[in-house]
Amino acid sequence: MSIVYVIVKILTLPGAVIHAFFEHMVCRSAKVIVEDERVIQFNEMLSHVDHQLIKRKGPGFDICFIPFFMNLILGFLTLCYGSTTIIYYGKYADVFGWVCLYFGIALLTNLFPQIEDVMMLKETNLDNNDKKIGKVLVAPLYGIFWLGARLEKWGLTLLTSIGFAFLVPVILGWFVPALYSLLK
Amino acid sequence: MDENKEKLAGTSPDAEDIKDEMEELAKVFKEELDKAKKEAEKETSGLENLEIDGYNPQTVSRGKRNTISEDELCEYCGEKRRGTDKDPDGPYCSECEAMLEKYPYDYRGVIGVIVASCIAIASIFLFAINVPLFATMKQGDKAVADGHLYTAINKYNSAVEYADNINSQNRCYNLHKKMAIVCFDMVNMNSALAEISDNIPDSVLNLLTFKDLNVILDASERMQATAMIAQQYIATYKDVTEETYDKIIADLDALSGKTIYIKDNEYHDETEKNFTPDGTETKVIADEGWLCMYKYAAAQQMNKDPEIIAGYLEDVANSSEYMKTLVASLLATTYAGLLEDYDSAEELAEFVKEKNADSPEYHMIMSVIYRHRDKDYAKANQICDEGLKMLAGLPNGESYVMQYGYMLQIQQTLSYIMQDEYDKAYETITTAYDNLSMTGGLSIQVRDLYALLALKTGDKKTFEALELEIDSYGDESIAFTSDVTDYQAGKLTLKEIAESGRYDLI
Repeated sequence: MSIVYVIVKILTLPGAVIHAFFEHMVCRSAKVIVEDERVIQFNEMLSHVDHQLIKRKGPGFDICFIPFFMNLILGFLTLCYGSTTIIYYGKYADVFGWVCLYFGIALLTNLFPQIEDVMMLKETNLDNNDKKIGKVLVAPLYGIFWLGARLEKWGLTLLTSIGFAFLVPVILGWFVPALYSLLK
Repeated sequence: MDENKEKLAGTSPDAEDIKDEMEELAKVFKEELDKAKKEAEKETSGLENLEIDGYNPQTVSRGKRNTISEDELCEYCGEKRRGTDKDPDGPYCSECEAMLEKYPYDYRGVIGVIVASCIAIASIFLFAINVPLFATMKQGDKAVADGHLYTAINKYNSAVEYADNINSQNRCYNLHKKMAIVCFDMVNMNSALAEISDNIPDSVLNLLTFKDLNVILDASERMQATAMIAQQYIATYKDVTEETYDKIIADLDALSGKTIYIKDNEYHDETEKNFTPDGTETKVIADEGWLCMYKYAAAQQMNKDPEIIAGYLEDVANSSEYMKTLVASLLATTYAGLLEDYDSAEELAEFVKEKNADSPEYHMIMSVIYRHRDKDYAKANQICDEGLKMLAGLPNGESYVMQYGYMLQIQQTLSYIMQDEYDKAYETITTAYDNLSMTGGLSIQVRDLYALLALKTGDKKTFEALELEIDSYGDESIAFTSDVTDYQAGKLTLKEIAESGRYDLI
């Protein structure tokens, strides 16, 4: 673990804590034993949920996907206002806009699972999976998670999330004006 | 061997002695065993009474510990045997496993999720309120990308209205920046500068994201300073005459590459003898394009050869993209109307269309080309109609027809004159004149054609009204041109005037 990883985790603490919460939630619902969940500690264990190895398909997938999906949704919704207000409109005096922008970036920086969880996903859903369709569906996600986990290790997800914040007005621009014209 | 057997069986003579010895030993062992038992009981009874500060060793399952090895103990509590019914080899006892499966949430995580959810909901709610602003601004961006600048500026104006309705204090600086850039691209510099100075403070202008706007501001300042200095030079000569023309051109040439100092809205150039810079002035280098623009104006006023006029305009166009946009239609109509260089004119028509598809300049240039090159007056009229329809179809189209429609209406008037349809020509130019009057604009070409056609159709009242209007201004520079006086004197016909190309230069 690099020092950059810890610094980025500290800078984006709300996102890290929320990711850990959802990971813990999956553990509880899947009855996976959690051995330690002191998420706020200023070292490489920050936001780390220490849980038992998962050998089942469902929880192996959920522990990677659900925290990722929840952080993505919350982050995107938060950036809807933050990015458009600060980045697109240039309303620099809007304090809540800055809050939304920070929270959105923090949530998106902590999207990806730990590398050991990604390895578990591979073992449970790809290596030991007889169903081809299941493998085909999981494989792209595994690739995304693996890459994301690697990027996160070097704190690079902070840059990707800032980049995404700039993309949000573009993404919204694909359908919001058309929807608005339709409703108008 | 046999001897021993005999001894054990008690058949040998020493058997009796051995038996006695064995019995004695058994007795000793029994005594020792009883003694040890008694001592053990004594020790146990002593411990039963030992209890310090509530700690009773009896409650500690020492017996169990003695019976379960360290490796088999639960990893969490370290007391019970590890393994459950479900997982006999698991590291935890059944009680600890049940407890760890429901490991309590960190309260900070719970708070974080609640806060993030609230922020996300508020974000969506506020974004929804701002959707009209967002959608309109995006439509403006799309119009800019498609080269429809009038549409873009209209959309941006609507977006500013939305933003001001929501919160007029919290300004959308990027929106104002975009408006300023579009105004600049439309060669509407004053409007752009007004937008910037009114709405964007210096602290925001210094941001890196406003670099493009700063480039425009610097260019505007340079061009404005050059124009002011050039005007100051020309103003020293009362009028542009054959004698003063060469001096004006020489003065403008001398300004090339010179530094202009700006202080308190006053402009000085480095050659000025009565001016010494004190270091507090803003310095800019004279803009080549604007110097050429003033040379062109002087040449135009002196009715110099079309080649000379076109040469100056080409210098202007080559100086920058902005100046090329500014003079493109002027240069194109010079090529088509005066030099019969229709290919260059068509190239410039495409250029202006690419720059601003909402502008009627493309239709105007093509109309000039059809009229001069092909003598196809119907086609020339048709393309002007298309241009007017296009203007009317824009958002707030009526105002664009009023402001810019006259460019096309002049062309239609000239085509009607060439077709001897003077009533139609008079009707068209009357509309152009009225529209311009309503917007407060003035075009010498429109007014003179209006006057000429009033004379042609016998509308003396209108002609006299125009004469009175000119007299009321008291400015000789906006008097009727020689075309009107020559027509009155019978020196020129309307068709000759229409074919001269002088009314194509707008």
